[in-house]
Amino acid sequence: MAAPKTRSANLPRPKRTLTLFLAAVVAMFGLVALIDANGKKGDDSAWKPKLGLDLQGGTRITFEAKAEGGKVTPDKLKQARDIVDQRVNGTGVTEAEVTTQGGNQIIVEIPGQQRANIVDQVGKTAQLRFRLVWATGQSAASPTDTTKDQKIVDDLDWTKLSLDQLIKAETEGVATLPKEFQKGVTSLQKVLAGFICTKDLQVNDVSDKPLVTCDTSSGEVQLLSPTVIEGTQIKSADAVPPSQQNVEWVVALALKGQGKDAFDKITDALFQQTQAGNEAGSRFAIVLDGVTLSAPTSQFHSTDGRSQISGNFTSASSKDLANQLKYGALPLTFGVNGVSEEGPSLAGSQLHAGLIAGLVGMILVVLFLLFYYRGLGIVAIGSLLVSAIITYASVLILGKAVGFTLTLPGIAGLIVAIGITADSFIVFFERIRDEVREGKSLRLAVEAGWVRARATILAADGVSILAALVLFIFAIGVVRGFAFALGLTTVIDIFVVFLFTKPLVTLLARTKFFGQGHKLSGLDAAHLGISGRKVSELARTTSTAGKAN
Amino acid sequence: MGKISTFGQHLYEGRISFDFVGRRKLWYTVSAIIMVAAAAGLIARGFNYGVEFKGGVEFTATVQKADSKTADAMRTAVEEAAVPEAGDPTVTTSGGGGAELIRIQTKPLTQDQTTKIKESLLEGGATEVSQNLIGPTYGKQVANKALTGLLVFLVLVVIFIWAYFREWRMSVAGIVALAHDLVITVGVYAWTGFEVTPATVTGLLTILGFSLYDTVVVFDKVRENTKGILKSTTRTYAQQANLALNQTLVRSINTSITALLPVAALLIVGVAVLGTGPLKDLALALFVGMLAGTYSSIFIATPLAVQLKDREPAIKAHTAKVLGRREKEADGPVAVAVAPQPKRLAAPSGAAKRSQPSRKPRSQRGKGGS
Repeated sequence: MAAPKTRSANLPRPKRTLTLFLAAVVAMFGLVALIDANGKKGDDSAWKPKLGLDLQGGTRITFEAKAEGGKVTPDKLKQARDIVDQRVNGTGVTEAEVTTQGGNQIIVEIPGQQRANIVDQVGKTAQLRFRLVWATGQSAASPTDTTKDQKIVDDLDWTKLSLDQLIKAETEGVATLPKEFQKGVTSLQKVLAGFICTKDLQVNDVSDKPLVTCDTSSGEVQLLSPTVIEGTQIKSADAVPPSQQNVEWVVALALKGQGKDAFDKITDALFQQTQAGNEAGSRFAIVLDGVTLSAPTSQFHSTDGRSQISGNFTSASSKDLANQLKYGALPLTFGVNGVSEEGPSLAGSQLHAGLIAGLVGMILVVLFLLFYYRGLGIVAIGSLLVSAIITYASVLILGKAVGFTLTLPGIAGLIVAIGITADSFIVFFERIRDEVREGKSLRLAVEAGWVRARATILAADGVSILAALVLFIFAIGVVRGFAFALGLTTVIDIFVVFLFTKPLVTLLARTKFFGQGHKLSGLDAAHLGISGRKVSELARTTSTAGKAN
Repeated sequence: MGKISTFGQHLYEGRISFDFVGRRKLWYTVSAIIMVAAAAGLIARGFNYGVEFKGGVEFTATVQKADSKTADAMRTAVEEAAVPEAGDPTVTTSGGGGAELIRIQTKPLTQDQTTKIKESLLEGGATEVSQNLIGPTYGKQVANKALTGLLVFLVLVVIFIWAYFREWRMSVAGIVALAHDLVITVGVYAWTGFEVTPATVTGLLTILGFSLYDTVVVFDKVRENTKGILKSTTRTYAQQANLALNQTLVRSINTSITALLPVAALLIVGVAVLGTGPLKDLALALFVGMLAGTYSSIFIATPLAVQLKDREPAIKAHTAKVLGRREKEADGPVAVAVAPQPKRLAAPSGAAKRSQPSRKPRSQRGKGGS
């Protein structure tokens, strides 16, 4: 009893379904036009698909959180992403996209121009710390082997020292440190003496150990205390233009939490030294990834966690330092995991090749469908075209709505989907033919064939969508773009088969050409291998049976 | 004219029938040989990992004409950049058609070093240089993530097939066929020396979807044909399953052709026009995997599902009963039993769908249930 019900539900309304479907397609393009009218013109037009870096040229930098930088939580990663975002956009790059990926990565994508040099500006500014300047020296001329001394320093547990002891070592000299640390101090001084200050300095910056490093701009070599304030304690940092109090640019700094108290203590002690004229005993250093950014003296005592850093700043350099302080406090340590830079013309040729492949594939499929299915092939081609049009509209809308970009693997996904889309028609058509072979008239065969094909198409597409979803959720990098494209086209396929192909075939089955089995319709008796009978005869029988209904 | 479709009709009626299920030992042997060959390739040759897995820098220089002369010029340019770490780079020409490209792969370098080499390449005659600096863990991460995805997908698919067909044996057969396709594809990569890149991983993962997609379509017909099989006295489960395979054969062939045509275009364009890059890596995996996927749905998945099903006591008893009965009747070939069907149904046409008192309780066509 199920079959007649389905028939009466579907048969009378193919025209309405088709009209509604085509109206929906038109509406999609209307939406694109609406977005376009409200958006920017030119390259950012809503009519152009958003292209990935591999197709338009540009730079992609992958940062990966290092395990030793602490536990990687989604919160911390998002925080880091925001900081990197501000930092990239702070360097004057527009339209840079910063996203997280795979639970421990941050991806920076800069379209159009080739900007691999941005790695230095974004990637290097990672860990900011405040330390006290215990001693200074000059860059050594020739390298000396200080691994033994470094080991002695590393073996000591410097966390036993209190903040007061660290400050005392600064103001009164490292000789005031407890006896057990003295061999460490001796070693540190040896390391200091043998230290070479180079432009691209690489120093292993461990928070709770003393550090020998240098200020690469001045070339001064410094022996620094273990970290007294972590960069994460910075609340804000701003460049302040010259005013009545300041004759030059300064950087205003506000700290929070423990950092605020520590800073109070430190500036109290150091400011006294400044007033006493002991410049050397009143300096603290701001260290970024092991390299000293600035080592100012304390000019006043701060009790509210506010401070100003001064020292020959220009407008630009004060802003730079403020930015580095503000955004320097990444909650995680990152390493550069990959930089890819695609030239615009090479990207263009890849896009070209991808489109050619898609076009050639489409033509081949069309030729095959026409050859095998004749008249029905036209339905298949119509459906493929409609799918292509909807896919195009979806790519445009998704590009605007969720930032979907078309990448090379994405295009490959769309091309692969041509076959999957065509399979739905093939399953449907073969079922219709099966039913005709069973002796049904075409009109009934279409309905009966559809009921069976429907279940198969849904199950098969279900597997496809499942695969796409799992890939999209669990995979990273190129795999994701591919999975998205594949999932998108499978969903579109279901819509097209249900709302376009099926009603269209129902409509066509009522025509003389198909319904009576014209030689070229693909449903003629000879084509179906039914010898001795004619589809037209059956069709007539049906129409009387239909009336009797 | 119409010969192909007549063939389809004959397959449908069972007049022409390929014994897919009965000769399963032959197919298993063929597949076993191919899989051993694939495994041997993996052991003997291993994978040619792309730079994404090894770590390093890949420069792609666009030149006027990619030949050995310009390749040498690029090699010299790398040496002139005075970056000792980049010594002895792998230089390959690729392209033809649209783009003249030279690929230069070096060991891992710092950003400054890459910039130096890039400048040197531009001085050495390249019109444009793309660079890809990759940490050695990138490819592994993609692969690891993909593996997680694979495991999750397998679990979900077993549940999905079981839920849809109500038959765990089909889940098992589907997974075995899937593994079969993966091993063959992986073997082809080992033997051909095509680069294994994240795009290859993508291709492999897509095979999962396609292989199962194809299997589900075939299983769907098997289920339809074997519905109420225990009430039938003329045909065994295995025979009905084999008929299903024959009946969906035209679909399988047509689908494979339509799916493989675009992928072939992708492969040819990837190799001929670009010579390198993700399109090629992806397309080869897809091409091989899709071929294997179609083959395994017909020759591996279904025979295996039948074999498992045949162990079920009810089916076993039924098969024995049918075969015993047939022996008694001595003659009466299989085709005769099915061929009259269309003729019988032809007369009343549409009305046949509904109340049919004259119709024998033959539920093997599965009509009543749908």
